[in-house]
Amino acid sequence: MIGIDVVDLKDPTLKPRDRSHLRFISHRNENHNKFPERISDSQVYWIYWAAKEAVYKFHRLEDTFDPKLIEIQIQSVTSGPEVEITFKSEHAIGKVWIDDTKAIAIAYGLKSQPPIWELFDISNSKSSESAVLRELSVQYLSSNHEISVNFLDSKIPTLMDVKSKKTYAASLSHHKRYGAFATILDSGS
Amino acid sequence: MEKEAIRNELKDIIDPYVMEKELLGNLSDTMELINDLKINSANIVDIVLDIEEKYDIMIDDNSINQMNTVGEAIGVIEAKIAEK
Repeated sequence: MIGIDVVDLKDPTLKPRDRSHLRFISHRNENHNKFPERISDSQVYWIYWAAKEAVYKFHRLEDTFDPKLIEIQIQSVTSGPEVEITFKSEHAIGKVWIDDTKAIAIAYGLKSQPPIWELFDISNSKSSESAVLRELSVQYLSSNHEISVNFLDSKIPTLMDVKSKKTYAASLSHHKRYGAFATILDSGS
Repeated sequence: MEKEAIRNELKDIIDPYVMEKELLGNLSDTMELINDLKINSANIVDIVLDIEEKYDIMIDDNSINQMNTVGEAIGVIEAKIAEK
């Protein structure tokens, strides 16, 4: 299984976040003090938010997303042009990348193959973000992994290999300028 | 404060977060903020902050997850106003 989330941090409707806003999304067991000073309070909020969304999608449930029920434990924080965080949750591990413009989180199984994922700029798309993202994802897999797939007509994103009919869990996320897609091709059934 | 007045004010609060404005034309209590009004989930906290400011109330940590629909959000606002 796989989950991905992207947040466009330049979305003008997002109010500034600080640590006080973690009260809305924190699991009771979380320790939010594992971050070096160079990570801003706003970034801490969005790291947890994106990680929790990704874990929620990983579980592929149709329940309402409740971030307070998802425990995220930060494993490592690495700084470069963008910050990379590794985390674990009860049934998943994952990574978050964050800079001044976006946060991206991916969650996948403890024993699964590394996911394939891609970030797209969908700011100029004319049709619905969801449709554009699905089309871009299919094109990406065809061009970069030489696999021809279609999305099944299901609420939870699922890919089907056109030839073998194997199905693969997939995850999609879009927010303003960005669209993101992830799958794990070796997990087909 | 009457429920209908809260509904109208809530409509104004969520308006900036609804991209497809025609969805606001048929606002009903059963409409889900994320699935039906297509509000990005990242904005739910923004809506809560707007509600807190508008009504000078404090939405407690757990109530945010009881505001999935328009009707539920109105219910939480009514309850918090009554507690003041």
